[in-house]
Amino acid sequence: MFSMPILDVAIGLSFFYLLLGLICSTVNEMIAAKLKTRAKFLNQGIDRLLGGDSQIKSELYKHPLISALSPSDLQHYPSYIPAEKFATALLDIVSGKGRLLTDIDALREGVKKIGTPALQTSLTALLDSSPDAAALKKNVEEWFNDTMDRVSGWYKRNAQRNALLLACAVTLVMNADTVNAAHTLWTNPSMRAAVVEEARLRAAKKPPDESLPMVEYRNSSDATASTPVNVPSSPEEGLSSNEQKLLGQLTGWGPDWEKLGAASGLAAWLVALWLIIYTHSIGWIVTALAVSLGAPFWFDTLNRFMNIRNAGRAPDEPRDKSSSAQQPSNA
Amino acid sequence: MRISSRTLIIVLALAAWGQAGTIVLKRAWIEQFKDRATIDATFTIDHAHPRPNPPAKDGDMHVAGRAPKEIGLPMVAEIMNAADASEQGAVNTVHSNEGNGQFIAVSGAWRLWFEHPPSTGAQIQFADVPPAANTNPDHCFEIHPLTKVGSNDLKASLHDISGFTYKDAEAAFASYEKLSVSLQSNATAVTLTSAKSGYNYVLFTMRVASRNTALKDGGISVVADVVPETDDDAEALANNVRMIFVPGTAPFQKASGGLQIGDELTVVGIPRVNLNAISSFLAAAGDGKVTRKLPYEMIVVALEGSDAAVPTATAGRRAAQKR
Repeated sequence: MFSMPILDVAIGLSFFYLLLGLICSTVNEMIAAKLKTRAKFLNQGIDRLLGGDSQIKSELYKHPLISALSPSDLQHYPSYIPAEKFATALLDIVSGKGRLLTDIDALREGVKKIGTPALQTSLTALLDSSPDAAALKKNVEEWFNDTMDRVSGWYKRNAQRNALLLACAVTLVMNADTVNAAHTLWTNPSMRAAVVEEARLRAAKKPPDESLPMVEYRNSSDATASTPVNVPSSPEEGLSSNEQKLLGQLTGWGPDWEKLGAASGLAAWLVALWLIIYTHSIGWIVTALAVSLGAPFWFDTLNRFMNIRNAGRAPDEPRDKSSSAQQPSNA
Repeated sequence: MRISSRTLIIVLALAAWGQAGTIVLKRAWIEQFKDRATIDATFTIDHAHPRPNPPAKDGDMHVAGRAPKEIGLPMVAEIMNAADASEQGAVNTVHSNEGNGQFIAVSGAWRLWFEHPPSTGAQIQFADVPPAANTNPDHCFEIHPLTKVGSNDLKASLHDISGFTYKDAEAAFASYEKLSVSLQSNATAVTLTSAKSGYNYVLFTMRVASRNTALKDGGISVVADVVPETDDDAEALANNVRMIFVPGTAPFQKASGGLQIGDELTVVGIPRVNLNAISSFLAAAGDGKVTRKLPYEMIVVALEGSDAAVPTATAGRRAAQKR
């Protein structure tokens, strides 16, 4: 075993950021589910696509092909609409009741009745550029997909911003100060050993996901017929009680509350508060930035450090195949 | 505290260095190419090697450019065995079109692999691709090997690279087998993030595990296990790997001659992401982020000892490697 205090501190910090990242992921998923963020972004995209035509939008969401995609009757908007279903539902609405959605004449009549100029212009252009109903449907699907790409961009930017905000919030609530944590790990060998041991367990626990294949080829007559396997069905595992305990020892407001409590008078209290903020600010900023990189990033980093640590294994330790060195390529 | 924070930051930065590359692909594009060996593209050449790499390096000629219509990613195309006299016409065509902004027709095996990923940010398919600054820009997409440049047919260039020491199968497949990929998908696109990886041109023995299956472009795919060359009873280096044969090439002729389940064939291959597996998995898994083992397949680019000029070169090199 290759053990150096500096390496163990690095492992401890990676583990520290990983645990905080897992907390952020869980909170983020809860917030996203509660606020129905994805559905709201999709709704904005549909609104943009339909040129703000509230009547068509309302009919679209009530269309059985679309309403069936909502998780419940209470949630009006689905969070995901396949392009094919959107195109079919929209053409069905525009063609009018009793007319086939492949009837180009009915569609042209329907477009003329649309009250929103932007939507009317878009659909007219799509009709004019489509030689038949099948081509029109395909064009509507592409039009939808192009807009959804922009929706994905909005969602992603929003998610990145939220990740940083959430990392800041978690850092402050838990008083997760990198400088303090590093100091504790460096000066307290027993704590460092406990953290490294727990990090080792965490690193050994999670890799299965990464080593699980996506498909199997079970049909020996067809090398294109892949069968999906290991499809995710349950949310990510949370923190173990030992991890929670260690994280509690590396974070927390206890000593700072004591300093505030010891201050007599408002002026002294404000000075104490200022000193606390001043002392922690660098550590908080580093923690928030690190945690915003996400739990997967810190999981990978932790594994790299563990591989380095395992590289100089003792003779009686089992060989770790994952530590084999990579060789440069030449493309 | 005696710990040097600068040292700690350097250690953390080193750990993160070369961490991963991210690419965003259109799902419609994945569906189009998941069961094709090759891609046809209209390609504008920004930079090309003045001359092919020497065979000892790999014998390839790198051509950096863009195919905004069919690929829409930073990319490199590579001519295999480019120093062969028979490929001089293609090399000349490349140089005569270098930097002129014109589009020429190219074909070859598509290859998605995180070998030269961007150090920061994601490469997004069909976003604007700037001209390449050199012959090896950050890229995860290649046409490698090329089978056609303009009117020059390069299918015969897929043969043994005389003078090149192939990558060792055991090390290469051990590396491939431990790669992972994170997928994040929505209705139209999927983001793939994976660690940088290499190991091109590996010499290995495949044991056929499925019948030949025709691909949409006329290529052939078979599922095979990769077995060690020395010990028949030893554990396979990798199981259920798709082998891709590029139409019109010597390996393709060999495969189309009839591979039977259990047959063993020693070949040279280069890895690429298996989009067939990605597509099937996404269809079953739906939206969301998930990390799994990176599915890969091998483009078979040469048969063992297929160099017409030096027919026994491979065997000789392998003997030398063992020594």
